[in-house]
Formats: sequence, structure tokens, C-alpha cells
Amino acid sequence: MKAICLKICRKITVKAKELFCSISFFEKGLATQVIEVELIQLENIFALLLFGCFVGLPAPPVHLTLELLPKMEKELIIMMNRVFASKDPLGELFSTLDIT
Amino acid sequence: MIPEIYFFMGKGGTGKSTCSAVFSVQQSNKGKRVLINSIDPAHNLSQIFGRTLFHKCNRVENNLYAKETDLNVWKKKYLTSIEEEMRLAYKHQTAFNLNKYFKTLKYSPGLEEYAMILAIEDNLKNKENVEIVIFDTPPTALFLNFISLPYSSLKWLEQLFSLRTLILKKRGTIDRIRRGNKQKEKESDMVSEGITSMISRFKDLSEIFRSKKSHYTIVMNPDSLSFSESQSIVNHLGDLGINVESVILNKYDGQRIFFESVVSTFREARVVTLKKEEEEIVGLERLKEISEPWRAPN
Repeated sequence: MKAICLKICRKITVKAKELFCSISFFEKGLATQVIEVELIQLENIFALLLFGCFVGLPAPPVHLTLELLPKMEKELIIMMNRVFASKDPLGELFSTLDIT
Repeated sequence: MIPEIYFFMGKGGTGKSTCSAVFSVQQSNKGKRVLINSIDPAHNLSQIFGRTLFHKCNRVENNLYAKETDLNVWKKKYLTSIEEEMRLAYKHQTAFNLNKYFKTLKYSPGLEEYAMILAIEDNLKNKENVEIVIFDTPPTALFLNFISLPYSSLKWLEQLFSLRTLILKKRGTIDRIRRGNKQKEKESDMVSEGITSMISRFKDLSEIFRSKKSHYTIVMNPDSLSFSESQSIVNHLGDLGINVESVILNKYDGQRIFFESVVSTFREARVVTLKKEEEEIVGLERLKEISEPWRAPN
């Protein structure tokens, strides 16, 4: 009887350990998910900054960009929104056509 | 009044600063009001004149003024004005997000050349009321980048202007459709105004660079490297529609064959020589001594 009880206790301990492990794995996943999204965004911005010219964004002389920068807030916001929406073109199309 | 402008250019170490200093002293001795300005980030004029020169105009003698332009001052001034303009024009959050990038913008390629343009534009306002401005320029690569800047900027600006015109036309069409027949006052577009003002600035500058007011002198030594680099300068400036007026063969040691090959290569330019000096050319008195027998480039 005592041996059976011990066996059950051991099994419960193993299962509890497994449960705690999976909870911890899930929590870690949740915690890194946000950082991963941030990381992808940062990588995207980094690539755009460095290689904009390879995807059809020619680099004009820096003084032209700077002179026009204070006059182009609206265009700048549009460009940023475009960059953020580029991952979900269907979503953007639906919102443009007002399909819900 | 726009003064006469002289650019002394050439390979590094050929004696551009010395030749421009000798020329400035010679012209000032002729009674002209002269300003010599070093736009080379590695200045030498202080050592040549034997006195400390600053970013602001320094009086060397009666008619002679000198300065060593600090390009970092121009870069800082320029970036601060853009930042200030952004703070006024942008909503708080957008301006705040962009501000952090301004710290690294001063290291952007091309900004040094633009700082030179700003310095030259400032000189052309002629606050010192001089008749002649002499520019001691940086070595070939940086000089050619700087002198090409108004031309390359104009190419970009013309493209940007035609694209902006198209955008405004489309906006106008949408606005007309939405408003029906109701007339609306034409709104001014800050971006196209900015582009137009830059086009006019760079056109003026490129015209001045090509005009008879601007004089270009190459300083070279009797060696094959500075000879071939001088040829590249002549070709590059020729592409921009600029002619080199004179070539100074500095540190000339009397090799007749070399002199003749320079004369035959640079047919359009006047070739003058400045012989190799045993003693260093430092100090105003020494510059005067050298300038007296020297046949100036003009």
C-alpha cells in the first residue's frame, strides 16, 4: 500500500513539474513575442535606412532632404504608415475599399 | 557688388595655400581690397601668415583680410536652423521622434561640401566689401565634389519639381470634383516653394561659378602624379562648363621639358612658374618678398 502511494506521489510530482515547465515556456513565449515584433520592425527600418536605394528609393543629396524635411510632415506620416502597412496589403486594400 | 573670385586648386601638398597667400599679398600691394579664405578642413594659412587666423574675418594688413572657415560651425548652424524650423512646423510627437537622428546627421556624406557652399554664399554677400575673394580649396576629390554640388543638386531638383507639379495637379483635380463649381483660392504649397527657392539659389551659384567673375588656377608640381591629377581637374571642370585660366608650376626646378609639356597640355591656360625656395615661405614679409618678382596668374 505504502509503495503504491509513493508511486502515485512520484507521478504527481513529475506531472506537476511538466505543468510548471509548460507554463514557464508559454510565459517566456509571451514575453519574447513583443520583443520579436519590435526586433523585426527595427531590422526593417535598419534595412530601409541602409538599402533604400535597392528597393527603388534613390538617395538624393542629404541637403535637399534636410531642406524639405520641415515642410513635409504630412508626406512623412504617409510614408511611415505605408511602411507599417506593407506587411498586410490585403488589410490595406479592404480598409481602402471600406470592406469590413 | 559681387567680388572677383579666385579658386586655387590641385593635388594635396602642391602648395595651393602658399600660392594663394602670395597672390593675396600681391593683389593687396596693388591697392585692391582682398579677402583670402581657406575652405580646406586642414588649414595652413595661419602657419603661412605667421599669425593665428580665425573663422571670422581677420585683418592682416591695410587692404588684406584672411579667414579660416570652420566647416563644423557651418554644419552646426545649418542643422540647428533645420531643427528649429521642424520644431515650429511639426506636431510635437513627430518632431520628437526625428530629433534623435539629428545628432548623427552631421556625419552624413555630402554635408561637408554643402557647408563649403554655405560659406561661399556668405562670402558672396560681401559684408567685408572687398574687390577680390581668394579661396584656398581642399585637395582635388573634395574640391570637385563641392564644385559639382550645385549642378548635381539642380538635376535632382528639376526631377522633384516636375513630380511635385504632377501631385499638385492631381490634388487640384480631386478638389475641383469635390467642390463642384465652387471656386477656391489657390493654396500655396510649401514644398514646391522650397524646391523653387533652392533651384533659384543653385542656378545663381552655378552661373557665378561659370561667369567671368570666377577664376580657376591649378597649382601643380613638376611630377607625373600632380600632372595627371591636374589633367583630371581640367576635364571635370570642362564637363561643368568651367575653364581653367591658369596653371602655376610650383617648386619648379628649371626642367624645360616638363614646362613645355605642361604648356602644350594645358593650351587654354596661362602657365606661370614659382621656383623652388630653399627657405620656408612663412610670414608676411617673406610673402611680400616672393610676390614682388612673381608674375601673377591674371
